[in-house]
Amino acid sequence: MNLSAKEMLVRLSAAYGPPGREKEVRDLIREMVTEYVDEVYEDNSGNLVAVKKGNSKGKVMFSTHMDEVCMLVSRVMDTGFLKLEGVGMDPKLLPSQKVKIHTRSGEILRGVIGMLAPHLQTAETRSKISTFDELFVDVSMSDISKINVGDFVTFDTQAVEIGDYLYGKTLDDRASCVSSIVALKKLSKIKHEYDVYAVFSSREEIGAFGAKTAAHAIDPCYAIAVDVTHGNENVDNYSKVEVAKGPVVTFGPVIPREISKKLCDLADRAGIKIQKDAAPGRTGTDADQIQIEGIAVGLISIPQRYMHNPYEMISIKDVEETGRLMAEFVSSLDFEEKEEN
Amino acid sequence: MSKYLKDLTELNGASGNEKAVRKYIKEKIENKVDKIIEDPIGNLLAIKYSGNPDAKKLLVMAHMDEVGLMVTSIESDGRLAVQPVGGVDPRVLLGKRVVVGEESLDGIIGYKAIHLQREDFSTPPKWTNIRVEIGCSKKEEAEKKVSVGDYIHFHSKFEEYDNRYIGKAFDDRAGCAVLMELIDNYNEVSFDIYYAFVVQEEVGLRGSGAILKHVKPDALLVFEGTTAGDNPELKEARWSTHLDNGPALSYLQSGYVINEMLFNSIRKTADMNGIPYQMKGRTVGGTDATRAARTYFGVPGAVINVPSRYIHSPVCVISRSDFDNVVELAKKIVSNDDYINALEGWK
Repeated sequence: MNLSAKEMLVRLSAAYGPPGREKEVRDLIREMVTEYVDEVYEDNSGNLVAVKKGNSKGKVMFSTHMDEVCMLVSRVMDTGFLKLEGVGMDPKLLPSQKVKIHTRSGEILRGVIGMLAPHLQTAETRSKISTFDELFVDVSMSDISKINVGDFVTFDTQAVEIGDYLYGKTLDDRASCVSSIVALKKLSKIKHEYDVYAVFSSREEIGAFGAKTAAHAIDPCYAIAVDVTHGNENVDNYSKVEVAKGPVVTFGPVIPREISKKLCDLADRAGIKIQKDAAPGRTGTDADQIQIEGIAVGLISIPQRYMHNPYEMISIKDVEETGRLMAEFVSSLDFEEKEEN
Repeated sequence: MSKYLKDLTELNGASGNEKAVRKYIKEKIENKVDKIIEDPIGNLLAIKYSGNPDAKKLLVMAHMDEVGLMVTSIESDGRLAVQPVGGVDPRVLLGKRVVVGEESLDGIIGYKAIHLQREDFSTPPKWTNIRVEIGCSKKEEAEKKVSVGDYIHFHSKFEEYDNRYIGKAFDDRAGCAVLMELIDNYNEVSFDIYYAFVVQEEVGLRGSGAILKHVKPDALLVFEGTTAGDNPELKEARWSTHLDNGPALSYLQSGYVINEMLFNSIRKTADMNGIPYQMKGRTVGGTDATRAARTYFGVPGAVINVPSRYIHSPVCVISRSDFDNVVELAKKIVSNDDYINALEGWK
C-alpha cells in the first residue's frame, strides 16, 4: 500500500473499533503492514501480530492498541430516543454530536445527541452538566426497530489536518499503531538480529488485557509499548509535555530504568528530539500489563492534546519520530549482541 | 425536499455576517420579483406588486442570520478566545469542528482530557475555557491567519432522511427557504407582497426594525424556526412544540401577544385546507414580530414556526412533514386576501 503516516492515520481514525470489536481496525492494519513483515496472525484475544524476522537472536515486542473509547446503547425508548453508557467517555463532550449506531446486522444508523435550546433552559439546568443519567440520543431519523441494547455507539468525526497538527477521533492509540508500522517499514530495509513481534493490541481502554495475553504468548525478551500522553496541558508538579516536540520517554517503576535511559541515548545518537515524563505509579498503558507478565518493557508516548475527544490533537512528525525510535531500539539490540560476542 | 434548505443551512452567516446568505438568496430570486433592494445594514427586500396603486402591503419576513462565535482574543499559545454572537450555550461547543474567519479556515474546539479534570469534571465549561485551535502554537502565527473580530461558525453538514432533516441554522434558514418557495409559487393577488430577508435577529431583532420603517406594511407574517424541547430533558407538559405535529403557531411570545385577527385567519386557512398545525406551548423567545409591534405606528403580525430540536447548536433536527406543511400553509395564506383583510374593523 505504501501510504504516508498521515494517510494511514486518517484511515485508521475513521475505522470502527471499540474494545473487543477491533475487526475493522485489524483488517486495515493487516493490509497496511503485510508488505513489510514475514507473517501476520490474529490470536484468541483479538490482537493482530505482525512478525518481522531477524536472526532469531531473541524476541522484541511492540504493543500499540487498536481499540477506542466508545458508548453503548443501554435502553431503547419507544419515543425515538436511546440512553447510553460510556467507556472512557467524558459526557461533557456529547451534547450536539452526531453519532453512529453500530447495529447487530452491521448496518450503521444515525443518531443525534441533542441538548435543550438555551431558550428552554433554566438557571438551574444551565449550571449543570448532563451525565449519562440525562444524556439521550435522538434516533427519530432512523429505524429504531433495528437498534438493540448493547449496540456500540461511536463519534462520527473525520480526521482533519490543520496547520502543524492532525485532529481526529481515536488517534489514541491509532497514532501509535502507525508508529509501529513506520518502525516495521524501516526494519524491513535493514538487518536486525532480534525477531520483532508488533502487537496491535485489543481492549486497552478496559484494562489492557490484549497486551497481557499477547505478551504471555510471545514471551519476548523486551517489549516497547507505545501510547499517547497528555500534551500542552499544565498538570501540577509535572513537567509540561508539548505536541510536536518529539516522542516522550517514560521513567517510573513499571519501566526498567536501563530501558528508559537506553531509549534516551538512542534518540540522542539518532538525532531524535525527545521529551521525558515521570510515571511514579502505573502508566495507564499496555506497559502495565506487559510488566506483570515478567517482561522488561519500555514506554514511548506520543504527545496528544484533548485525549478521548472527538478531535484529539497530535503531530504527525511525533508519530514518525516515535516509529524511528522504535526501529532504533530493535537495531540497537543487534549492536549490543555483536559487542558482547 | 425544498430546493433551497440544504444550501441555505450550509451557508455561514452569523449576525452581522449574512453576506453569503444574502448573495445566495438574491441570485435565486432576482429574476422572479418586481424589485429588489439591499439596504445599508444588509437586509434584502424583494417586492411583488399587485399593480394597484392603493394596494395594501403584506410583509413576510424571515431572518438570514444564525448564532455563532466571534474571535475576541488571540492567545499566546496560538489558540483563539471567543464570545458568542447571539445565544450560544458553551456546553454545545466541546469537541466540535468550526469554520474560522473570512478565509473559512478549519478550527477545532477541544476540551481538557477527562483524565486531567478534577472539580471541573462536573461543572459546565466556562467561556474562559473555550479555545479554538487553528493549528498554530504561537500567537504570531495565528495572527497571520485570523484577526480579532473574525466570525466563527459551526461546521455542520446537512443530512436528509425520510422523515427528518439534520443540520444547523434551521433557525431561521427554514424561514428563508419558506419565503423563497413563496416567491417561486407566486399567485396574483390584490395586495403587494414584500419579502424581507433580514439581518441580526439573534442579537436583538435589529434588522427588522429598518425594514419595517421602510415598508410601512399593513400586516406582517413571520416565519421562524423555533424550539421543540420534546426530548427526554422535559416532561411532555413542558414541551414547546412536537416534531411531526405540523406548523407551530405562536400566541404569545417575549414582548408581543400575537394579533388575534391574524392568528384566527391563519387557523381558518389551515382548517379549510386540511393542513395540520399545533400551538407553540411555550412563550419563551422573541421574534421580529415583537420588533414590528414597536416600530412605525406598530405593525400587527403573526408567527408561523417550523419546530426544531436543539436550536442554537451545531446539530438541529426538524421534521420534513412539518417543513412541507409550513410551506403549504404559507402558500395558502399569501394566495388570498383573508389574512391582509383580517385586520379590517380591528382598530
